[in-house]
Amino acid sequence: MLIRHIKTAGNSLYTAKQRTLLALLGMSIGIASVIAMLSVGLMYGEETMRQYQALGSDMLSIGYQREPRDNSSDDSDSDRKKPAMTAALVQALPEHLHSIAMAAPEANSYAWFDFDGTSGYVWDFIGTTQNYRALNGIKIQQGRFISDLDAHQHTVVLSGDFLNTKAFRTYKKNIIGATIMLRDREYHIVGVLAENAMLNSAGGNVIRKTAYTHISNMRQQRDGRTVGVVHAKLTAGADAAQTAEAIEQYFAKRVSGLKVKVIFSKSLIERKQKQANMQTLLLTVIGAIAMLVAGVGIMNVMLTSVTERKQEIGILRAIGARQADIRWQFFIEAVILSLLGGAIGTALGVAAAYGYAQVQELTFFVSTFAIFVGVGVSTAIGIIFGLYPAHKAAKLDPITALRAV
Amino acid sequence: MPLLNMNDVHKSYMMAGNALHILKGVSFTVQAGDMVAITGASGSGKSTLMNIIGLLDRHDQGSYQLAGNEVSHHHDDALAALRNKNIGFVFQSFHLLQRLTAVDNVMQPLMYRHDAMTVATMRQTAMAVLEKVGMADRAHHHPNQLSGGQQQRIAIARALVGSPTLLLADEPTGALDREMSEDVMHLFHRLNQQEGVTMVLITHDPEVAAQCGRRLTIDDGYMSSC
Repeated sequence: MLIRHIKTAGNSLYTAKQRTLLALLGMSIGIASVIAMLSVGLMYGEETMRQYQALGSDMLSIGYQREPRDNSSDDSDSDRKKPAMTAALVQALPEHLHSIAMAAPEANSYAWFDFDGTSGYVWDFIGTTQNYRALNGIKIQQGRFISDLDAHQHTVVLSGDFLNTKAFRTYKKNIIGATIMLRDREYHIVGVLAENAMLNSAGGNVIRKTAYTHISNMRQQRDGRTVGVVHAKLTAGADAAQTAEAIEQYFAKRVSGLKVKVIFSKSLIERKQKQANMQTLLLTVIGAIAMLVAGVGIMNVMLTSVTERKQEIGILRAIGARQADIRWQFFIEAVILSLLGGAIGTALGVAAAYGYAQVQELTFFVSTFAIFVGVGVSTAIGIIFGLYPAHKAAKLDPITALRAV
Repeated sequence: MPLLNMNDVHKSYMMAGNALHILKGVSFTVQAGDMVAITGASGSGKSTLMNIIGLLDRHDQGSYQLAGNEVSHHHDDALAALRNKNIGFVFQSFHLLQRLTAVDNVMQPLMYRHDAMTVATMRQTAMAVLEKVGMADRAHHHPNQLSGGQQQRIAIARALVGSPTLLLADEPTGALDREMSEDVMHLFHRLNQQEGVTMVLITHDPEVAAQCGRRLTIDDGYMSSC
């Protein structure tokens, strides 16, 4: 009987081609956009996680603990010298703590640059040491990164986007060895980073002009601090909590009043994962709303169909169709419509996600979650939004239905 | 035992808060093999009676036995099954499904019979009945490709396909011209006399009524024979 119902449903859907096509269009577009949105979201999430995990879960950063705010403080107070981590202390860290494999200080500032008649703003002028490259997984396209031998040498490594500027473009391959003015001082360019060389702290790629030099070239900030943050890596098998404590003691013992805060990349990754989950949830909710709209569309089409086919319902009832037969017929029509729309929409959505992945150079994958959403939700819509019209059709009074034109 | 036995059947409708008494005690019987015409002016309760005979509507009072079943208190599903098995409807405006071919239209009642008949057997049965009404060569036409008379023949085939105990025709010639009417009436006679099909024709056409063995008239909710 089910096969007969499906055949009948197929037949009547085929007869009402225009109505069927419109319903399918609405349904497919709804499902397609949800699948595409979910897939792209999930691909971005995966990509970010991959990049974070490439850094390793054994990474940690050391920053200053925020001091409790002093009510009597005024503007002049910010000039007061605060206890600071020094480059020398940071570089000695692995010698004193076996749980630290490697460490690099980072002094963050900004600079105005002049190069061959062009000038501009360098958003991040970073002072660091040789290990910074290994710790952050930086890729170089030309020359080399800052070395420990560069101490007090005015050498600089530029981010790849410098080359997009006209003045630098003309140099292209000869940029190594050229000089650039930074903070009114002459620096020799020794290297250029690859584009997308590393992640910034927000998890995106470095997209603004950044220059790296040896930390010895950096001046103290107004608060007396040069090193702003320290990047470090745990020795394999080291205990994170114990290491954190050891680091805090290491600095506290050597600089009076210095309180540092240790953050492990593992917790960063976990936070990132949570963010990604939240994002997926949000997309799912938006998707659910889109699906609801598609479902109302299906219901509308089915209700129209019931009204238009009143006479048919009357005829079928007269020749002996039970209410259940009529209910099944309309219900199956709605489910077929939703499933077909779901299938087309899923295909379109996956194709769109594939196209986007190609353009954005993301790793494409068909997420089972997205497919589940496509198939599951369209079935659910067919069932939920098909029930009412089917019920309405079944409950029609045969006499009234027969009289309908 | 009569095939159809109606005894003191009443029916009223609520119309704008007022009870409208349509049938005021209708009694009559139809024997197997009868060909009965029920005539009456419009508003006489003719259509209501036809709906009750056809089990599309329920009476309020009285008893109605069809083929030995007292149907007064049957559930909706049981009525549907009785309609399917015992009644073949022929409507004034044919009421064929436009999206189906003639043979598919004819086999529809068998589709709702809920027995183990295969679709191939249903099609065979439908073809045999189409043969009987002289429409076998139009089996794969859609209704809109056929004339009114041809469509009514298809509809008659559909009414007969389930071998019903009663063929119930509501103004079967009302939408047909004279020639086609005669053609359909001729078919009815042949089916009644050769195949022994029991028929109840609801009509206001005296010429049609005159061709039936028995004539009943309904007037203002009361039945009388003439």
